[in-house]
Amino acid sequence: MKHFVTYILCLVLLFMVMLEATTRLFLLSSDVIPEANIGNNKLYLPHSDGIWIKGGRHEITSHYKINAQGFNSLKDYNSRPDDKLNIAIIGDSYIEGFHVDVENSIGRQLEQLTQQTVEVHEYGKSSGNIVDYVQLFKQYTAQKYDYTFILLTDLDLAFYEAAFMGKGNTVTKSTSFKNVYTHFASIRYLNSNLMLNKKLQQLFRSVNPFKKSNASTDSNLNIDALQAFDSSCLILYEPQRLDIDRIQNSLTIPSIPIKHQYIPDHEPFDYHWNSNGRHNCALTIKTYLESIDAFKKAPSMSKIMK
Amino acid sequence: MLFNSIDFAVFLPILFLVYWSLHAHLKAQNICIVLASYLFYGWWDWRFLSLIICSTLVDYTIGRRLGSEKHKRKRKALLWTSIVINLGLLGVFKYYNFFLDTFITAFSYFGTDIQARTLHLILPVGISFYTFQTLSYTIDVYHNKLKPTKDGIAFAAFVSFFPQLVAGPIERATRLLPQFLKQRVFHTTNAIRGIRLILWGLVQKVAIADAIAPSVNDIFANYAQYPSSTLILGMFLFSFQIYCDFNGYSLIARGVAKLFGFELMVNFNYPYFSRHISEFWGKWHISLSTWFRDYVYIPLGGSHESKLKTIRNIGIVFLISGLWHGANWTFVTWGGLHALLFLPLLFIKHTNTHTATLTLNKWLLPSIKDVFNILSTFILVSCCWIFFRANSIDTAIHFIAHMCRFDFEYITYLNPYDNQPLGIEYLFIFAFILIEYLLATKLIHIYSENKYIGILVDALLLLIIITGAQIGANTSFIYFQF
Repeated sequence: MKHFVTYILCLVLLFMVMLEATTRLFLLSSDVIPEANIGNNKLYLPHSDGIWIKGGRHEITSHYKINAQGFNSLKDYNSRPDDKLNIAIIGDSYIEGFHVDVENSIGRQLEQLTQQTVEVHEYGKSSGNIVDYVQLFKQYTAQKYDYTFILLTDLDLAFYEAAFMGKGNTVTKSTSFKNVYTHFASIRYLNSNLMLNKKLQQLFRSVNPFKKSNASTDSNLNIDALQAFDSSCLILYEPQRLDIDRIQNSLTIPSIPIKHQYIPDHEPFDYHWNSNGRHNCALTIKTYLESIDAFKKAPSMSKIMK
Repeated sequence: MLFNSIDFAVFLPILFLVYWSLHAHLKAQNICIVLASYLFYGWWDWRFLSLIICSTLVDYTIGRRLGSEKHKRKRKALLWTSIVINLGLLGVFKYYNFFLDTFITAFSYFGTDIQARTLHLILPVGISFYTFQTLSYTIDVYHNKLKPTKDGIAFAAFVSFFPQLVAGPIERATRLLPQFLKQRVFHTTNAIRGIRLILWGLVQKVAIADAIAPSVNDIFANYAQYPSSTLILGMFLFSFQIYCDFNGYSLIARGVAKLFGFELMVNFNYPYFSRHISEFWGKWHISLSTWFRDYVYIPLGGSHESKLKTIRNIGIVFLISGLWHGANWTFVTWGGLHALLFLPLLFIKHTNTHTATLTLNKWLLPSIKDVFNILSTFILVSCCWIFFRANSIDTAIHFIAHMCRFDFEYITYLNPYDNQPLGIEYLFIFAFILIEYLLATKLIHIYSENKYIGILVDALLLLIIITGAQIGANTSFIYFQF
């Protein structure tokens, strides 16, 4: 048995060396995007720019650009144009949007679809929870820029789950594991592509007999947090992924379902994540905007109409 | 639980350590295997464990009764009880709706409408495999080829042994059951060989079968839009997909069994290097084809009676074999086509299964005649796979009709997965064929003599598995549905 254990250890070691060399040689893993604490939120270090890579076959190679506020966006959110309809989109990794080029984010596509009559600012934050969303809402959207519409997206099942989670997160101090993660492309590759961390967590949660019930019932929904959103908000959701009726009782703000079909495009391993997925969201928002007066009365819209 | 899942990657080492820590206690090891196997199966759906337990209890009890019963008629009654219960469960879960639909269609064809309710049943994973395995036990005990076991735990372990529970190989009680009754000893060499088989199986599954699956799905779903050349490509790709998927599973099963000190039978012996259809069936899904040979073909009279009866027997075996694969006429047609391909060999006295390796010339290549025979057999087998893969007979016929338009316009086929021309997939298939050829002709051996080369090969295989996997690919095994 000793020989066998030694064999396995040597095999794993040799494999890790080979994987490290392969991931570096063939650029199978992107560098870690540095994080920063900005206004009590764990966001990305402003002005980072690069290519986000996922997949042993380079399934995703997308351009990202972190703006001055720490979000993945081509624009810095420094101003609020008065001649346009101002929209903020708050959401999780779907809005953060590393899976597509930053040039093809929902916001940019919506601006193109509406012929630049709207100004869209995206506040995407992966692994965010409802408290983080409230934080973003209060800090940026409700007070600072006074957006006409604020879209809260639930396109990755996260919103409902997030509603039960605790408080917002901050950048953790440098730990040994974090250093290993930052310096070894192979570890990042394994975590990003096999989602080892997430899958192991799910596995142990499913077999843990002492786990606390986190069943999604209305009774433990974080109603207080949800009620922080005011009437300027709308929920954009995908009917296949969210049963809106479950939270509708606790939430008084209206919702917009995405009814368009996700069709294959560049990354059809999940039609939800690809550019067409983003395009569908933009199209849904545009269709909604066209049905409301505020959009028709927007100064820039009037110019187009003339 | 899938072999290629993180759940199994956690399950296996834990079980391995627990199992070998009990090496001095045979009974405890067998209990450990039974519990682990039930967990493995129940991970998918625990409710269907009741079917396995039912099958185990029925065949254990009947086996014991057969051991003590001398009266011929009573023995026969016991055998038929086992057959009826086992095939009854299989019939209800797998074939009830199929036969009902067939009857309804047949009667409506003659103008009689029958109102009947189909059942909304989930097909239990691997039911065809463990049903045939337990049946082999009862039949062998009935024919006094095997003494019935008194060890209920060992018998339960034999029925539910997790490496081969859901997709084979369908082990014979005469081979596998005795392994549960004797002390297992840990051999490092054996365990390392097990690791090699697991890794080689995973490479076939992940880097080839899963990688070409999106293209095959796309070509078969949208065949009307593609030229003949693409359909032919799809047909050949499916041949490799199904082989790598199923052979991959069988290799992993054998490898995992080796880790626990068991030897499972070889299920595939390089079937695509067969020189005729008889040889192919001696090398493809060996555990099933030998099962049908021993329990259906030979009892029917085999080839020792008149030509007409031999033809009948071959026809019956292939049609049942087709039906075993799935409750759809496509599978029956597939079986029937193989029977038709088999028949000419009867008249040229060529039915004996070749298992000998290819004879190579000084350039390490087979003769031109062998190359021709290998290619023609592969093409025929691939054509039959169209029926196996298609959703209906209509689809299969239309697919073939489109293929026979012979519009060989050059269109680079784009993999729907990444919208790129197939590249790495061809490379993997080419490398795979080369390795299979070297293994089939025994120019190389799957196990390395040199331990340093061995560990390097294993690390390389692991690297291919990890980097060759597609994100979000459907990783289930094709044969789970049977």
